Amino acid sequence: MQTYDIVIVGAGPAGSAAAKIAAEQGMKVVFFERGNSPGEKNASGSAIEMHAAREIIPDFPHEDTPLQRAVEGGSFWLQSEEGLLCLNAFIQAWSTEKNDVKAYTVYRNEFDKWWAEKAVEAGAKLITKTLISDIIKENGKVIGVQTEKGEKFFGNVLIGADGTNSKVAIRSGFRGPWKPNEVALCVKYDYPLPKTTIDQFWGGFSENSCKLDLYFGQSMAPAGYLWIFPNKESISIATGTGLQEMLNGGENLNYYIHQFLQHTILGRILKNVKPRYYISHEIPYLLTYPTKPLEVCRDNVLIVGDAAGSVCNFDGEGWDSAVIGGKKAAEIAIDAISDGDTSKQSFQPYQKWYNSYVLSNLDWGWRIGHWLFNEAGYEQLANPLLKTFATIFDHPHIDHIVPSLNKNLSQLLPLLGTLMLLGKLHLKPYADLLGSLV
Amino acid sequence: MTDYEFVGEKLRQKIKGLFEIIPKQKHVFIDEVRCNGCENCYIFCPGGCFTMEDGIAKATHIEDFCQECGTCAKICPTNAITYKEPEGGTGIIRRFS
Repeated sequence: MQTYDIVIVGAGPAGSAAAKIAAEQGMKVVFFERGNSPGEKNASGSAIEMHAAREIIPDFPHEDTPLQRAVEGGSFWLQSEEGLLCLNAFIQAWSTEKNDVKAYTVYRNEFDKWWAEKAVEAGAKLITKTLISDIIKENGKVIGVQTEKGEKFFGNVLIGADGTNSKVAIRSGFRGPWKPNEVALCVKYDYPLPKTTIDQFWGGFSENSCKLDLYFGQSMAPAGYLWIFPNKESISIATGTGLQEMLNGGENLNYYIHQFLQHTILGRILKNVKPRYYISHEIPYLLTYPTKPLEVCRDNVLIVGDAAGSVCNFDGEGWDSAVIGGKKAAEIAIDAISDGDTSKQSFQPYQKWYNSYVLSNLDWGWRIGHWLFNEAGYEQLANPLLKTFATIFDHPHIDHIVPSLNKNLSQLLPLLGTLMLLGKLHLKPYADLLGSLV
Repeated sequence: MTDYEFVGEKLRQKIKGLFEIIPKQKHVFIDEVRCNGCENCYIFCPGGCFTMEDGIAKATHIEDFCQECGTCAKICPTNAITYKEPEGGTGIIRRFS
């Protein structure tokens, strides 16, 4: 029998963050990974944000951190019947301040391994190649976990950081398996390309930097988007969409990648390039309106990251809230253990953090996502601008251009109204609900 | 309209060799009595792991193509599919992920 202060299932971004923070505070911590090494089963966009990384490792990044490219901007591509509109955004393009990188692209299989090593260096015990098959309960309360080989590990607090298909969340009674309208499936191809080609098409202003491409449109993802994230010497092309939308007349996701390569410049860039890796992964993507906060703590157990559905339901970003959530869960678990009370009540600060950080994200994400995907908001934005461009090319004369601009751009006015309304309604519907919890 | 070019056997041909799998025991199971032949798992599986035989879905390529996403069980309208995670240290290995 092995007993720990904190038992963590999962050595992804949230599990390793929690393990590091807890071990640093002198807790006896064990964390489990089902792959041969952390990161082996993981996948994402993949980009990581500096603000979240520095919550765990204040002097992040280190020299040996496996990073790919610094993200300096993004291009938003909006598809409509009129064509494809591109909005480019380069953050701080003329800034004189250096080293102010907000995010990096990474290969998660490399990065997560490094990230977990930081927890091991802090004193947490990592057990790999081990699937946790069940939780152990006593008098209705969780007291430990059991491996598939029958080995038991007991702890004062259990942290479930075991991803979308979290066994800890389901077996502890937080929720059932996610439903089709609560998850998104993603597929991704990695294409090797010469550094110069990537710099040419996706490069930013400094060495090893890049911009990301995000494509919105029914032809690329029915509810979600298609994206290109550049690495040092490869690009990843991926698409993801809500399962329910996929079921409602969608195709296998590989179809969308194929169509994309047929209809965009990417097909030409990659004409003679073979992909070297294929990855697919499922993430929580709560496309229903978040009418009530998900329960994330019970007696002796907390859930974090994908297990807790803490993924923005617009952009699918979950790394930052997984990492910060891992830290919060660990800190609150430490307090609870030192107070000798690990009841659900003692974990309420974690629920409060979740409600403010994750739920506001879900609320915004739902509003924007609903407008973009269900009301085809990207078309409303793209159509008037594309029509205006078409006029300019058709009749390059100011007599034609001005009336056309008036007509087309006036269509953008209701759009501004919609966006303002989105902002005003923010959080209001369940302010009372949150209040009652606090 | 489903484009069957990106489904099942044809998808397997396209993605073959683009990932590594450590041999494992089968970990996705179909209850053939419950299966209503809707083809959801067959059409949407990103590993092309399923085959339709006489109107019933068969999990024919779990060991060598399963990406471990768990989508099959979630999109099955009759809950005929059981998805388990494979034994520790086996299954899909991600690189450039």
